[in-house]
Amino acid sequence: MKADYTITINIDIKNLKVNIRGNEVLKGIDFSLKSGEAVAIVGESGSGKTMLTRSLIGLLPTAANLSGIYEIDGTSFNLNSKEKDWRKIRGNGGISMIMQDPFTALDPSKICGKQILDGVPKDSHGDFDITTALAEVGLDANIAGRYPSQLSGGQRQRVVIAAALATKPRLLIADEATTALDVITQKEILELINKIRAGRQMPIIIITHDIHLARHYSEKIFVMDKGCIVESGNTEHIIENPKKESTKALLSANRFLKNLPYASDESKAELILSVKSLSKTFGKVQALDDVSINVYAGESVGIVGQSGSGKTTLARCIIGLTGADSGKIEYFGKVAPQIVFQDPYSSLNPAHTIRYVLEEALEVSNRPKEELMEILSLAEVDEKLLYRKPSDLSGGQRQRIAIARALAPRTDLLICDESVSALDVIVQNQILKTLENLRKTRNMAILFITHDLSVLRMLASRVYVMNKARVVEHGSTQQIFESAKDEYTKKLIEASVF
Amino acid sequence: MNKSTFIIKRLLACFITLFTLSFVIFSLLFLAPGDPARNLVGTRRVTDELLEQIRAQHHLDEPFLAQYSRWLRGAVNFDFGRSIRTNMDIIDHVAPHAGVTFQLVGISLVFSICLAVPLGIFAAKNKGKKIDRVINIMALVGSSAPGFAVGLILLYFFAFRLRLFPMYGASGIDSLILPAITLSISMGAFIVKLTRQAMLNEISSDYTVFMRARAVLPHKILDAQLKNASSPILTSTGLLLAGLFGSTVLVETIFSIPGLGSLLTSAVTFRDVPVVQFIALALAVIICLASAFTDIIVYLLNPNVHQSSKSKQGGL
Repeated sequence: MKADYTITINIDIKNLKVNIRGNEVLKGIDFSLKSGEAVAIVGESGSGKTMLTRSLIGLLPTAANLSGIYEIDGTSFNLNSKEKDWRKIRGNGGISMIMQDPFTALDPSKICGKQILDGVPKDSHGDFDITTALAEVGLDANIAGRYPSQLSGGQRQRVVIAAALATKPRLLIADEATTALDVITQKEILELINKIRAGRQMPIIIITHDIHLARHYSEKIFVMDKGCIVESGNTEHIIENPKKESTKALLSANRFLKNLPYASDESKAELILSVKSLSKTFGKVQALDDVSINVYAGESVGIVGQSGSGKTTLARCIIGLTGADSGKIEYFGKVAPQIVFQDPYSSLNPAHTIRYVLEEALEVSNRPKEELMEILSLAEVDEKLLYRKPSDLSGGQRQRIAIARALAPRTDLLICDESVSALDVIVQNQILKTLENLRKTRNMAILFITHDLSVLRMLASRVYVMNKARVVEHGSTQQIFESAKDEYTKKLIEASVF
Repeated sequence: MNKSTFIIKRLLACFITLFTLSFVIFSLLFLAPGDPARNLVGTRRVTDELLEQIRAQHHLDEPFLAQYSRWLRGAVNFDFGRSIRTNMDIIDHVAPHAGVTFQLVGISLVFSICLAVPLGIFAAKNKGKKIDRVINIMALVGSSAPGFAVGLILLYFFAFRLRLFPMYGASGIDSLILPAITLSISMGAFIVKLTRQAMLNEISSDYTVFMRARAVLPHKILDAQLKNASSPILTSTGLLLAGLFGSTVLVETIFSIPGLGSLLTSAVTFRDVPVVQFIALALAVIICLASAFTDIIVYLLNPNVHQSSKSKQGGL
């Protein structure tokens, strides 16, 4: 906002150890940051990135036990301070944070303007202007009077950023701040954060699992694995010359879109699903507008588009969970299409063991229970998991169970609705490989719904691009990537390739 | 949906429920085994003359629906007929009893909310500490202790031994204190558990973490948490209130309080069907209105929560 103030902050933390109920989640971390630096912390989920940054502002769970030396601007600060003392570090003139999920980061029952004002320090209430604050994050002044539920994900994340900035922080932490958003919004928010950082000369910590993002928006990088920093230094240098195995693994898991091979075209003549001129409205909202798609036996087709473009409604219509207003769906397979949902945490019944879940699936599809082992090995699920309950499994393991369950009826068409977007890249790659193998061994068509173009490039030979309830473009994946005609498709591809 | 349409819709739903219930309640007379006329005589000695007289007086020779509509029309005009036992107008017969019960339920409600909500919040804020465990155990004991046992224990110590309160009757507020405590223990215990859980959800929420990260003043954070936790607490309290009217029967019997509960017991014993019908209908009205009002209050506190669930139903 003001060009005349330069932010200075020095953070130095040595030998940070965090212990939660006997589990050592951080194992002696050295981390430092100086004025004006853009720092990225990268690593798989569970590597301790979030724990590290939350230790800096005292927001770890109460069960956490911390030790180490923490210095801010040369003054040491007790890592096990009370909430009252931590408040001096946070917000006003200290450290502020942008949360990952814009849908839960705001109080649902308070208008956005008040929420932004809440964090403004008392003595500067007088000269704080909400309109300017909203303009800085690219929002209209009238957003101040709206409730979070009336805003889109991107708008909410802008409000979150405005709220974080309203405290006049000297350091901003962005914890996977764009992961929950679709690619185009993601890019917009990242550019916004970068612009604000440059304008305020404010240091920033970006936490991400996405190497491209770190490369583009940071100068210094810390690579984390299993509670340790394995490598750190100049971002470009580390990415070009990774020394440690875990850095290399992370780099190869991050799909470099430009270098990816296209999925081979293996479509066959036999039509398995035909959707003709499908339309559907919910109240005043048009969810599907004259949508037509074809899927051939054994092929892998992608549907790509932003959240709200109608992709999920289309999937729900195909499997019969939602009725369309007009249009025709013809399905020529022997066994009804199956679906794997996005969220592996809510799609499995938490009360039952995995064995029960899968046997039930076999039973309702009239398959013998002996096929349990077969679907397990097809979905590459470890037998040991059979007697566990979903809450004991990781996200990737649960998603494999959901796939195994969908395989039980020997369907001719599997629909994957954002089935890997809740998982981290390494796990994503493994699941995608499994799906590709399944398609070949079972001669099963896959309809892959996603907002992530790189997933499609790996998996789908043909793509339908959806925007605002319509199919705006379709063709072979290569054709779409190399010579897109539609403006929206071009924007989508541009936003995806860093 | 704006505020007034929501309120009108909610009250309309309440009205439909009551209409259905009135039908069921009226059928009580005919569902009781035996000849309705004989039932209406109660425990008096029966002569054929008397039976004829009763049939004529209560229009029992008319078809069922005609009788029902006659009864309903009367009810709408606050004419519920006469008690069979005392031959008094039902409203005059019931009113003094109802007053006592309302006082009793009102005091219990105030007791349990004033104590239980702060205890629940306090327990949640100190989750895992000793004080949280103590409150939890108290709530567990409270919700599982049978009302009649608690009532008898209180009666023995405070009325019989210490002579702090009267043993029985309804002669002023102090005679209602022990019964009110008895009545509020299990309800209060439920509200403690409920408040604690609702607050825990808010304390661990992302928006709380985000507010803390911005050094928002602690009392503002608490305000936000309370507002968001208030919906589940209020909704369940509305439901528990209905249960309170149910448990008052037992408590009134233990403490010999001449309230609706005791009246209902004696009316059932003496087969005073019009009185039973009236009390059942009155309780139904109270319960329906209580739940409608809690819903409306919850809505007025958080109008946008409904909007968001509405837009989710939109399906995108």
